[in-house]
Amino acid sequence: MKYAYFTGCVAKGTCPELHASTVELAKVLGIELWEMTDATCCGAGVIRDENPELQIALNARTFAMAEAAEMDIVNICSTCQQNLGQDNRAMREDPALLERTNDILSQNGLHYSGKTQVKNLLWVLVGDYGLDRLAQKVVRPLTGLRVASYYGCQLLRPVEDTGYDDPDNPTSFDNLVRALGGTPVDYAGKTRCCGFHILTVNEDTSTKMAVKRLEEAEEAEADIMVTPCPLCHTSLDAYQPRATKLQGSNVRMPVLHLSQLVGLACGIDVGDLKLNQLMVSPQSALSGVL
Amino acid sequence: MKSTFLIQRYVPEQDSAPHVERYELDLWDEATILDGLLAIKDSQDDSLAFRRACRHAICGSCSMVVNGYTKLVCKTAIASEVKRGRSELKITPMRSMKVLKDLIVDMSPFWKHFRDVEPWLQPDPAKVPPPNEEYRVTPQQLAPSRKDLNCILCAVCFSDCGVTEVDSHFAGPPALAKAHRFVTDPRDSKRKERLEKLVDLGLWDCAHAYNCMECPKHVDPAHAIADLRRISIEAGITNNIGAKHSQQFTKSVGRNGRLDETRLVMELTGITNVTGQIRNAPQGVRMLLKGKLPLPMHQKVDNPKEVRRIFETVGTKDEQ
Ligand code: SF4
Repeated sequence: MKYAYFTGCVAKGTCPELHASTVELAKVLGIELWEMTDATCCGAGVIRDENPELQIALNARTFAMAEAAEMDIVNICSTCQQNLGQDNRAMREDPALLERTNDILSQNGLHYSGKTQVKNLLWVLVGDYGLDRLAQKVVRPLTGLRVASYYGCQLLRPVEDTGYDDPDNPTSFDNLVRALGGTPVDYAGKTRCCGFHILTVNEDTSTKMAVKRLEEAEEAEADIMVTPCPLCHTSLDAYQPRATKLQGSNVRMPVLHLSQLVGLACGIDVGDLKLNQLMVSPQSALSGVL
Repeated sequence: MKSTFLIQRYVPEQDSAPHVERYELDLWDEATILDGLLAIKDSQDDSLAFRRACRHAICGSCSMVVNGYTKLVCKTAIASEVKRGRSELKITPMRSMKVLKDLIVDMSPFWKHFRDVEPWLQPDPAKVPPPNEEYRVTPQQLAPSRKDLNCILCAVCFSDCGVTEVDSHFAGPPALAKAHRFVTDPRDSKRKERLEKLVDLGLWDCAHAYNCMECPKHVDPAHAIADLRRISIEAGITNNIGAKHSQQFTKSVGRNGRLDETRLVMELTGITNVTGQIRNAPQGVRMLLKGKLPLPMHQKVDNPKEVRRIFETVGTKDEQ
């Protein structure tokens, strides 16, 4: 299995532990990653708000590079998945747009024919790798650990662009937790937004949303939350002390990246998974597993 | 088909808190959730309160939350939930609005936001033709608002929006979609004033969660909001945090191909805004101590020149 690995900006920026743990996990699972060090930001919908064709052109450049390398793209961020997916579909459905975009790419000697597939790591693990195979790699089962899988919103919608699960009743993440030996908990906020995309624009509302998600997981007696997206992670973990203070909440909830949780069950060294870079320490929550 | 309805019941004047009641049903295979509610009311409990009228997804009355998502229950088959492995249907009233009785909510907040966007055409009186003539537009001119026109004011998207849920100031998806309908109408003369007002009503507060894509009439408020943002920047309405965020973000990507989040936050706060920077400092220190503040040069693609070329071709002057 070989993928063009799209890190996105945040895993190379304020969430370095996500990139590090993804690389370690891929090694253990025998997934080959070709890191797209020349790929730009996906635009995050923010560039699209201002100039949709600019975002599409930037993403078409990324697709063209993966297509030339004859690989599909794996990403580790729900926003990347949604934006790459949406722009990819826009070009596939509109040949005139694809042609216009190719005119822009031609100045860089690139061409995109529309073949590249874009998959979030969660879909690669559940769909391509397979949960039975993953279960065989488990050497440190998550027995007794109550895990709140946080799908968030952008990984699930629009369903044509994002994946393989039912946005109204997703099950893949919980099935993955089961395959790792953990206990998935059901809670109201698992597919509701963390507020990240308005964190710099409207901090009060954004942190209210994040705190609500954390409290919902806590109410369901989860030991930890896990997210497939570094932006959700930023809202839920990196900003947790600030958000809870602003909103007067006592909630304290460790939040792991998907790659860290799977890596943990697959026996990867805790240091290599960079659990120490999490803002809210998962030490006591994981004491039964480690 | 057998199913179980778990319905939240609540009469504020007499109950101290909402409670759930269980109803067992065995209806025909094509029955809708509304058929189920009517069956309960007919033969099990006539005190159950819910709104409904047309039964054909036109009146927009029967919106309620089913297993976590808001639906028009006349348009949703019981079987569609059962097929998802949920023979139990948890039914609660819509979010973000006060419960009046059982599944009936007070929709005043919804209507308030709707009124705030002035949902009527405001043409230039000098251009309005005499009463015996029509003010004509072509289908092409109305194409941008074609989806907005389908809204039946059911509030499904209002109830599912995660921002609306915590922020009563946010106009919400349906009001913004309606605003888009008039902003893009060539006959309207208040485009700029409308856009300026929308900034105050929360144009930049949408968090891109896309729950509103599930609109039963395919209105697509999320894209209407994105389009309003583009139009408002184009119209020069950029002296607000949302537009600035968007512009600085794009500029940051134009520089090196990747986003430099740390610099973006500092720029948005204002480099010379000492109070703001001090307010951000504890978070900055926390991130630094966790090794979460990277050096800016890490955020560079291999060939930034190629990226700049794309910006020169498709970007606006501001973005380059
Ligand atoms: S936009 Fe759609 S979901 Fe929202 S109120 Fe209108 S019809 Fe209902």
